[in-house]
Amino acid sequence: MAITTPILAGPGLMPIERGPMLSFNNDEDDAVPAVECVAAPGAKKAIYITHLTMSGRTADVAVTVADGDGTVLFGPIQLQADGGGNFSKDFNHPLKLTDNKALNVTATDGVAFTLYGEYFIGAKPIT
Amino acid sequence: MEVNLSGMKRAGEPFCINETTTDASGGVVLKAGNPVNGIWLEYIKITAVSGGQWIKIYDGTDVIIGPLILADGVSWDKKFIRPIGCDKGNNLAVKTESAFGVNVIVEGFISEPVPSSSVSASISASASPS
Repeated sequence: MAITTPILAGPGLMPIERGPMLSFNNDEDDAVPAVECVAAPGAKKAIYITHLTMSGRTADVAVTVADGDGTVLFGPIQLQADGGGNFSKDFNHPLKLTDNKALNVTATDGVAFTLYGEYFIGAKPIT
Repeated sequence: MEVNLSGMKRAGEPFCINETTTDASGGVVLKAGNPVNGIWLEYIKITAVSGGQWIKIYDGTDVIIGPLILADGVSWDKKFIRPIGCDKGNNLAVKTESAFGVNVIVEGFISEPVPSSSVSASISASASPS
């Protein structure tokens, strides 16, 4: 997977039209192949992530956050088994995905983890 | 599962709850539902007393947060800039995988239902996690 430098949407770059804040929960036994957390929002729109919390279940797991094309946003983040080492992050400057791309996660093959996230859809995203 | 987060500001009676239980496997009510107004979460902190199992936060029978996995003594906290709402009449509750000790601190407020769909507290889509 290619690794890019994600765009963080600063105050002067926020989209003009911003949808309602939404959250999602994922409880995955396996994220190989990638699991889609949020569907692609449609043309001329983008997903903006504002929060993510991830925790591992019964085994250590590495989780990578990517877009629908497999382009890595960040990670892999190593999580300890049984919630011993979690990841929780507020993005004060929202993390923008490429226009009209889904939010996906991948993880160590066959290893379970959970994910909670918050996001919004920007209707006029920065480019 | 997808949940809308309110854009509303604090408009009702605030509350703070500190609940410790040694067994939340059957579900423990943190705040009883109000028949007229909904419960809104502004902050939550969950600490595992005996860890390694899942924890879920419920709006009635719908999961709004979780599962989270926390080891013994590990905490997770979150300030909701956009409060998470429970439907009126629904209890705010915590549930764990099995006999599992947990401490939950919740701050929020009670308010009237929000008229705009953009600030709806309803569960809006798809499947719930197991």
